[in-house]
Amino acid sequence: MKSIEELTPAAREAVRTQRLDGHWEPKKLLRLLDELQRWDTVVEAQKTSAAKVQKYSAIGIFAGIFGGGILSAIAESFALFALFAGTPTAILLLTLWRKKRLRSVDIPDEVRVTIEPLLRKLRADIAEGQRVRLRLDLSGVTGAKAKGKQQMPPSGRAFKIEQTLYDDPICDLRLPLADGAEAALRIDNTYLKIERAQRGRSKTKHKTKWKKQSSVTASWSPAAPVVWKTSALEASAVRGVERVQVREKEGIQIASIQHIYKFKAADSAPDAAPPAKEVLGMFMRLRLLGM
Amino acid sequence: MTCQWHTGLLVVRECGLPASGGCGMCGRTLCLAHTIPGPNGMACPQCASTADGYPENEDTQAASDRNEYYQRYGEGAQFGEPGYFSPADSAALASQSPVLPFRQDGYDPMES
Repeated sequence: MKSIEELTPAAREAVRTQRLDGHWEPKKLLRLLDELQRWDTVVEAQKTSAAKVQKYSAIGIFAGIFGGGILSAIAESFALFALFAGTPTAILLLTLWRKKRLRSVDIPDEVRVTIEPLLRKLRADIAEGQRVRLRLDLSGVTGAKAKGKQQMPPSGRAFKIEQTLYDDPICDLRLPLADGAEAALRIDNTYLKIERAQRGRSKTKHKTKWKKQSSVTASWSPAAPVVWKTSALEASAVRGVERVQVREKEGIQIASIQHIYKFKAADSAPDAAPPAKEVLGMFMRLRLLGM
Repeated sequence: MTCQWHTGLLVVRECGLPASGGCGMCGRTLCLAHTIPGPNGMACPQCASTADGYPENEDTQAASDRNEYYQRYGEGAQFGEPGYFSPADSAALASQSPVLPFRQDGYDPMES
């Protein structure tokens, strides 16, 4: 698979609109998510190759300026300089354009790392003939999701820090289970972009850092009232990163575990996502301690 | 006689289809869909997931997942509770290699 045209119409639509919303037959949904995760692998490979080309073309520009400069002085021809310096510059511009294009068809890693493997492992638990409710926002970090911007201390004439906060509620999944219970998964991402500018005598240095916080909430709504082993659930929570909550809705106690994952990256928003294995472990704990 | 293979990971339940044979290792009765042929004869997905030479499929994968998660979280479960293993399950698990570590990829959620 190399081009978006090779995807099925449903997958192409999801990639183009950057959105997936509806009630799905489990088999069809798995097929679609499998396609999307394969597409993500393709885009990731293209992004890696574009990053390599970008690096080498930047080196090529420096080498071209020096080499082309010397050769054009010897041959007394500007055409040589234009050829040596212009070719890598054109490649760099083309690569930057390609990277921008790839960003618009990229799929968040949550699909490949969390949602698809989780659903694949739980497919035998889904009630026969029932549909899975899934809402996925595939657009990632966009300007529209910026929730606030602020200048942070230390502020001064030479030093400036600016933080931008992005809210990205990426996934809401509801699974009707074979015993009548409902398992729900919510993933809410928060991104913090930290831009630092330091003004020197001759130039200003810019540095960007990204922090990503993924709040993963696994909830279990039993078919009939159960007495939750709250103390055992709380004891199973990972200290500092997990929170257990039991709330009542229409006479049934719903238990949930919230796990906070933290990721960081420089220059661009972190791609990392919560591992499906741990999310499944959260559901497993809820299942075993709801008796 | 019905198939005694348990499907599901969170909602574990018997397959219940008519049995056509049995597992040569743990003795549980099995339907055609849950019988896996291999070097030691017919086996259930649980036994096939732990024995050498059996092909991997969705059921063996589900069996090893269930094994891993229930060993991690199902400690101390009583009869009738989801974490409880039937004698056939226990027989299959007895030949099992040690429990896999939960985090194999060095991932640290506390890292900031």
